[in-house]
Amino acid sequence: MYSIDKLKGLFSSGKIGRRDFIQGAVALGATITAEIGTMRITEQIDALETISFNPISYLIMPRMIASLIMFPYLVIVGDIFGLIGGLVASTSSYEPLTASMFFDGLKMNTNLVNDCFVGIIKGLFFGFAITSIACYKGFYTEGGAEGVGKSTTYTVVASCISIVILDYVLAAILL
Amino acid sequence: MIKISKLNKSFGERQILRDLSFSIEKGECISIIGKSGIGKSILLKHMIGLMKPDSGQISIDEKIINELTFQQLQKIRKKISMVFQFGALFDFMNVIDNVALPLKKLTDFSNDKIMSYAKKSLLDVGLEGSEQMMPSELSGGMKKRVGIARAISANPEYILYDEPTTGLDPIMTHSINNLIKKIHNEEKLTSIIVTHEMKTVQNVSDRVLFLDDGIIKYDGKPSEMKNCKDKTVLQFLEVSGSL
Repeated sequence: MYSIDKLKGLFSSGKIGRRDFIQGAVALGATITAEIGTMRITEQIDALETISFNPISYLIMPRMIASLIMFPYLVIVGDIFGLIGGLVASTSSYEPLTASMFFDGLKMNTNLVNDCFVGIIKGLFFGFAITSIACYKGFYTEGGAEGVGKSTTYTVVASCISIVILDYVLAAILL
Repeated sequence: MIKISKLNKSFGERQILRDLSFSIEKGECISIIGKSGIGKSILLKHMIGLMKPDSGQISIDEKIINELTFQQLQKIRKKISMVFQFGALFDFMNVIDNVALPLKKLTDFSNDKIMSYAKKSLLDVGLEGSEQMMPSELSGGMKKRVGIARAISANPEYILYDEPTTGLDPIMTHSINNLIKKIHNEEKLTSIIVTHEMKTVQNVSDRVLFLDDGIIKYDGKPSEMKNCKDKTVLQFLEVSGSL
C-alpha cells in the first residue's frame, strides 16, 4: 500500500521544479548584471546620458517591468513541469502509482488554486528582488572587467539569500 | 561659453582638481593635455554633467550645470556632444542605429529624415557603406569615427573629445585629427579635446591647457608652449619630441 507520506513526497517534486526555475532566474539576474555592468565600464551608460536619455528609464525600468510580468509565468511553468515530473516519477518508480492515483492524491493533499496563487505572488517578489539586485549591481559596477565579475558574483549570492529570506517570510504570511 | 570657476574634485584623499578656473569662448578649439591620470577626462565629464564637483561651478551659456536638476541638465546636454575614448557605441545596435539614436531622442524628424541625416554623418566621417555593421565588427579607428558621427549627428554647439587618437596608428591618428579639424571648421563648433598627442594639439587646436597636479600650468597658444618656464610642461614637450 502507498502511504500518504510517500504521495506527499512525490507531489513535493512540484516544489522542486519551481525552485529549479527560480535558480534559473538567478542566472538571468547574473546576465542582467553582466550586461549593464559592461555597459557601465565601456561608458555606454555615460553615452546614453549625454544624449539626454535617462539611463534608469531606458535600461532599468523595462527590465523591472519585464521581470514583474514574466517571473509569475516562470513560476507557473515551473509548477507545471514540477507536476509533470512528479507524475513521471510516481508512475515509473520501482512501485509505480497509476496516473489516476497520482491525481487523486494531488486533489486530496494539495489546494492547487491556493498553491498556484502563492506561487505567483512569490514569483512577483522573487522577480522584483532578483532584477533590482541585478540592475543595481550592474549600474554601479566599477573597476573594469574585474568589477563586472565581482558584481555578477554579488548578484548571484545576494539573489539566492534574498530568495531564501523572501520564501520564508512569504510562506509565513501567505500559508 | 563654458566657464569653470574654482573647481575642486577629490577621490578619497587624492585631490584631482584644485581651484581650477578657466573659460572657453564659443568657436574655440582647445586641447587639454597632461600626464595620464591627472584628471583630464574627469574635467571633461564635469563639463557635460556626468560628474559633480566637490565645490566650484561649471557654467555653460550662463547656466550653472552642477546646480541643475537631471531634467534641466538634459536640456543643456542637447547643445553638447561627447566622443568617448573607445567610442562607447551601443553594442546591441548596428552602426546606423547608433548614429541615429541622438536624432531620434532630440528631434521630431521623420524616420526617413533621421536615417538620411545619420547617413550624412557617416559620410562625413568616411564610413559610408558600414551602416549595417555591428560595433563588434569595427576596428578601433572605425569605432572612434562612428562615435564622432554620433556626436555630430544632432548638430551640437559644443563637442568634447576624450582622447580621440589614443591607441591608433599614426595614419589613423592623422586622419582623425583632420576629421576633427574639418568638423570644427565646417560646423563652427566649440571643440574641447583631451589628448596626450602633441600632434593633435599642434595640428588641430587654437589654444592649449596643460593640466598638472590639479591646476593649469600652461594656458596659451600651442606654438608658444615651448616658451613656458614650467619644468613639467617642458619635460612633456621634450619627451613627446615637440621641443
